[in-house]
Amino acid sequence: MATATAGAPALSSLALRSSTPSFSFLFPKPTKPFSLSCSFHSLSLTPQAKASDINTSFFDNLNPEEDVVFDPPTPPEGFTPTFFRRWPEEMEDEITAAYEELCGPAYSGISVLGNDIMDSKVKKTSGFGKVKKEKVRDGFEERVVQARRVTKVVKGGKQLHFRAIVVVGDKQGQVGVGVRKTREVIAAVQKSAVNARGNVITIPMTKYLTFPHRSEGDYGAAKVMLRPAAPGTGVIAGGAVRIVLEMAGVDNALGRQLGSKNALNHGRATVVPVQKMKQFREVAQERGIPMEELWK
Amino acid sequence: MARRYWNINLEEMLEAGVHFGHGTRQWNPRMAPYISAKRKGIHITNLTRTARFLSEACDLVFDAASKGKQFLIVGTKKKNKAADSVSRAAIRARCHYVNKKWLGGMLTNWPTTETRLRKFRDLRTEQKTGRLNRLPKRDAAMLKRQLSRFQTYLGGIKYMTGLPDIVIIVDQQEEYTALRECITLGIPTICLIDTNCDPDLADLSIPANDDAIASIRLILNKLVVAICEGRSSYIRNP
Repeated sequence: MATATAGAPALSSLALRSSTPSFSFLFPKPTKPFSLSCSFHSLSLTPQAKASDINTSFFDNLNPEEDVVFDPPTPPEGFTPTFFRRWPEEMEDEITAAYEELCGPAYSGISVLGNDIMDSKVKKTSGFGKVKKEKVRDGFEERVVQARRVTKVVKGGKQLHFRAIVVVGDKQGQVGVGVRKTREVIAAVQKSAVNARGNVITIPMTKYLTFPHRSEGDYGAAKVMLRPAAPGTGVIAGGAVRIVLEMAGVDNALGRQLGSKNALNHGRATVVPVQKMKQFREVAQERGIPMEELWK
Repeated sequence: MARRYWNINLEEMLEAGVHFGHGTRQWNPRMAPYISAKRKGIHITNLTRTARFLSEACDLVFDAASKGKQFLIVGTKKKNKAADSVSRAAIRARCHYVNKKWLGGMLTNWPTTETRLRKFRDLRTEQKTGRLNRLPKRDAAMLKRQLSRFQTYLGGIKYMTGLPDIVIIVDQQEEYTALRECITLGIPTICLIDTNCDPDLADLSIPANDDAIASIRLILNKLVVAICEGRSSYIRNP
């Protein structure tokens, strides 16, 4: 039945997480439209880690009650199914050689193909004294929002740590907020910068480097209201909100902190209304009306 | 991604018992779309969907293997001896595998795991050169014990130089830590889901029976065939 209709059924599109660029090798498959004419109940899945990363729209047309026909493509000519009740026995040397071909001798301590066991791929990173960490040059600038000393009281006394809140941004629409604690301030700043790079979001901006529209959002008890502004205004916001907007590259905006004044929560709260924002183009496309209608 | 023909037929799966789920009381309501019936207090999974997902998984795995990606198979069920089939399947497909307990932080704390792997390698070389025999008996015994522990826990990942690109998990309930680690790191996962598991956690979940060895072996077989074929096409044109 499904073969008669055009396009494979909706289940054939794969949704894969591609949160960091290094894992985006698998092309996000375009969703093939489900072209059966019956009406479907939309099955909403619980949103996973980051909503922007995963394309879960292929489940929208999935009707749980309807029959899924399993139609594999026809086997090619002369396809002999291989029976694996009993795998062919392999010599240990063959196995080692095969593994070594694929991944190098790595950590096995044995080299059949004549590679050096202490291979160059397995770099010795532990040296005497301090390990020099090269600065990661990826265009992101860091700014420390807050670095304060926090205490944990245990039986023996007080344990002191430093907690750093760092905002990382490239002044072109990407920002991230990170928090980490260590025993030293500098280490904490570095760790939270790493953490921030893992939570980067993109801010939708207009050509005058401001927001498309007004928006509100909250994180915990910290509520933030963001408003676009005419060019030449600058960023008029306080504390954490200002730093986040500046690192994002927003030039003109108004922001107000409402509710609690906790710096960390406000940093995280600035991200929330930004994710709710939509560009005019997107809205016009979704609603199917020309952009001029939106400004009436 | 082209859809290829993997020899998946429903009779084979019925024979292996892939359609049996867990008891009715232990189900996860999120599995409702994949359950077809309730029989004698056990949920029965819908085999057409399973077959569909399995062929998708095979396609995915074939494509990844033909691009030269690294796989990791995680399966530590001791009760039904699934651990042996996991190791055999992984060796056959030249993948890394975790057979015994999944140590916490194996992937998220990769630098530390690397340190342990390095120690493993050094111990191996020492054993080969015979240095262990020259040490006093107590030290030699301690090192040999360490070596055997390394072999059980890290034996499957001793060829891994970095984080894997795709992780295949055999039982979601059992390997929950492994799944969570992959999610935080953003590694795509393929998971064998039973009726008491959550299908939304993994990237590609195959609803199947995770208790019967025959069913685990069947699914692993199919995936391994796909990986082998992908690898051979990678070798032919890298």
